[in-house]
Amino acid sequence: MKKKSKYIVASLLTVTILATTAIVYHNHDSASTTPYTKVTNLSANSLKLQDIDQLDDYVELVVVGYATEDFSDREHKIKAYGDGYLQDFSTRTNIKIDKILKKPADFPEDQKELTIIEPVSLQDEEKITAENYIELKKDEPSVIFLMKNSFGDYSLVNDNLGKIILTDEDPEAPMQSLTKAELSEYDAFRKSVLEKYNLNQ
Amino acid sequence: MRIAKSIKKALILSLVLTPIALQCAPSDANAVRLLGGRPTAIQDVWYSDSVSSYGYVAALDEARFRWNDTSSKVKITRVISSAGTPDKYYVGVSEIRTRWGLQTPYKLSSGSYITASNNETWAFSTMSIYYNNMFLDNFSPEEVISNAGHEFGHSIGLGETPPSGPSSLMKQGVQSIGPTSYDISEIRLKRGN
Repeated sequence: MKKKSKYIVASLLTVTILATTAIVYHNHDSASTTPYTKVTNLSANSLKLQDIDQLDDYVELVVVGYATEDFSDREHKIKAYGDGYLQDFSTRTNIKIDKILKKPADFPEDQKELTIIEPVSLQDEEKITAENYIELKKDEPSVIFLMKNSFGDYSLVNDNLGKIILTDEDPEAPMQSLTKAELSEYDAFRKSVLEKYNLNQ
Repeated sequence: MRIAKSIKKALILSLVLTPIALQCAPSDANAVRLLGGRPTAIQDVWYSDSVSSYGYVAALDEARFRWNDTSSKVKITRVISSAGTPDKYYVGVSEIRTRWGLQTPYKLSSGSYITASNNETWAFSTMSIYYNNMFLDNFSPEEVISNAGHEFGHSIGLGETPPSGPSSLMKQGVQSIGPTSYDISEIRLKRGN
């Protein structure tokens, strides 16, 4: 009995030490490859639909696709007013299209590549985002909801509910993750998206 | 022997309970009130020339007056000079198709102002409403006022009201309302009566 207890305690300690080491290693590894040292999260007023039918009605283009470059290799735009203060920020993300789920009449059925506008940017090691939006990860297939902006480009809409990862991964990036409430909202929405477009694997 | 047993029990309990306690931490309890903000909501605001050139001075004034009525601790006064640290309001354009407004806080760092997150204390903020997107979505005059008021709400320290929450100017999207009773109670909790 005494030996058994010692064995349990030793096992628990070993598991704790291993887990701590893994977390420290993961954080260190992420930090060393992260193209930014600070995340600035702003407040915005933008579309926020939690009903997939409403969102599907609202948007013009829905695709299953994935980003082809790392976040740091994409074209980041920061637009300022004449006095230097921030007006707008975005990233041009190249995606490969695996499947088109909804499209306007003028969008070619066989189009396989597209550059989309994401609501996030990068400048001098600072990542700027709003409403805690987390960018598309390279090679991670997602359902992406898009609308054409006034410049004729397709823009991702509905923030974190505008890109639903097909695999069971949660949206996250170095120094950024969804809050418990945001994650719960995302999970429920993801389920409805997969059901609507018959994407359950 | 007893001490060893107690240590063992404590160790096992802590290993089991710590993750549970972390999961239960109330991280989003005050989502509608930002953790950050200006030290007070008695603040000045300067309108850029873009506000008058797009014809939105009256809309911004109306949005401002509506917040000023919510608490004696909220007073947003328009000033004619951008000198010092008044908030700054602009009408701009955005490439994000369904973004209608943005609030950007600034804080002092090493002698210059840099962008701050909404969970930090800031010195002033800039607010933008985006003409191109409001135009594409055929905003009515009342919707412009709501959009402008939403950004003022952020500038005085309120975050977003979740979609499932009560009626609120601080919900995201296109609305035609001013600060609701819920918004008033939230700003009073943040700033006082």
